[in-house]
Amino acid sequence: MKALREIHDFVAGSSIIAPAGLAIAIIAALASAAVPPIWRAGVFTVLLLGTFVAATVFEHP
Amino acid sequence: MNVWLLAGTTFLASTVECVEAATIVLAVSVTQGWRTALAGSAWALVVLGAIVGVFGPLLVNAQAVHRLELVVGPFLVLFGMTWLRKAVWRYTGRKALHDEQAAFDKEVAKLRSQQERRVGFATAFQGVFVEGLEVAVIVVTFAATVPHALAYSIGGALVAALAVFGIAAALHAPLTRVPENALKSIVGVMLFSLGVYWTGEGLGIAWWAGDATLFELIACVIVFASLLIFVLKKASATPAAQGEPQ
Repeated sequence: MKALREIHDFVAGSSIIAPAGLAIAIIAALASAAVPPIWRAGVFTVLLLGTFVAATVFEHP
Repeated sequence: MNVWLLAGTTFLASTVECVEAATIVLAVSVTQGWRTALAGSAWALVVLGAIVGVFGPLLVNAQAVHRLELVVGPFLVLFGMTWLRKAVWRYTGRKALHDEQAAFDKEVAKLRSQQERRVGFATAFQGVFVEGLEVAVIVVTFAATVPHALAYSIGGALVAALAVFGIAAALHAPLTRVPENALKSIVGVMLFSLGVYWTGEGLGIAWWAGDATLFELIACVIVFASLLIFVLKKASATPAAQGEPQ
């Protein structure tokens, strides 16, 4: 049971930020699709980097 | 895509995970003997090998690479973000550095209180399997996304595993001098950058410099992580953050 729990924690990332990060990645993809193609890669990258910064600053380990 | 870059990433990721697994296996060997420790580890490696053996070729032979990138990319974003932010927290003192000696002592004390052989077997199995699973996922995702990367990914992981377990067996002590946080930072940067790149590719985003964009993404992530370390360190060093009167 302990092994299963550890695997579950490992997959879940043991925080709500990790799944939220994925949700934001999807939002980033949708948002970048709404801008002109020339800006798309930049907007997508900035949104994902922003997610990383927010997940590091606002979550307490 | 440079396959040596992928091999290097799996080598570093595997080194970090193997150091942690070696600590657990050593603790089992000290308390219950090498036979139990090796049996648990061997079975874990068989299961991990089966996972890579089944899913690796299945994904490698899949035709729709763009769809695979959409599955693999977010996985790597998630993994990379998790590794990198933990490393940032450890550099800034928000999270304690991983102490292999303390982990070893704790495991030995736990095993000495339960002398049953199956407990030692399960501990060694669990240690190798849980620590190895992340490496197995990375190996499979790399192999799925980049042609001919399977052998390089497996090779990187195997070389690290042989080196770490070889040194641990020779020293018969946990590897406390491996700079785990530095390795975790590098792996976090690589996985996050590859994840952003492949997710974008899967979505049909045209990167501004083609394949070379990956190196610019790596540089961007390093700059952001370094800035975060600088800012968070400064914030935690201010008197207000320490609760001291100004």
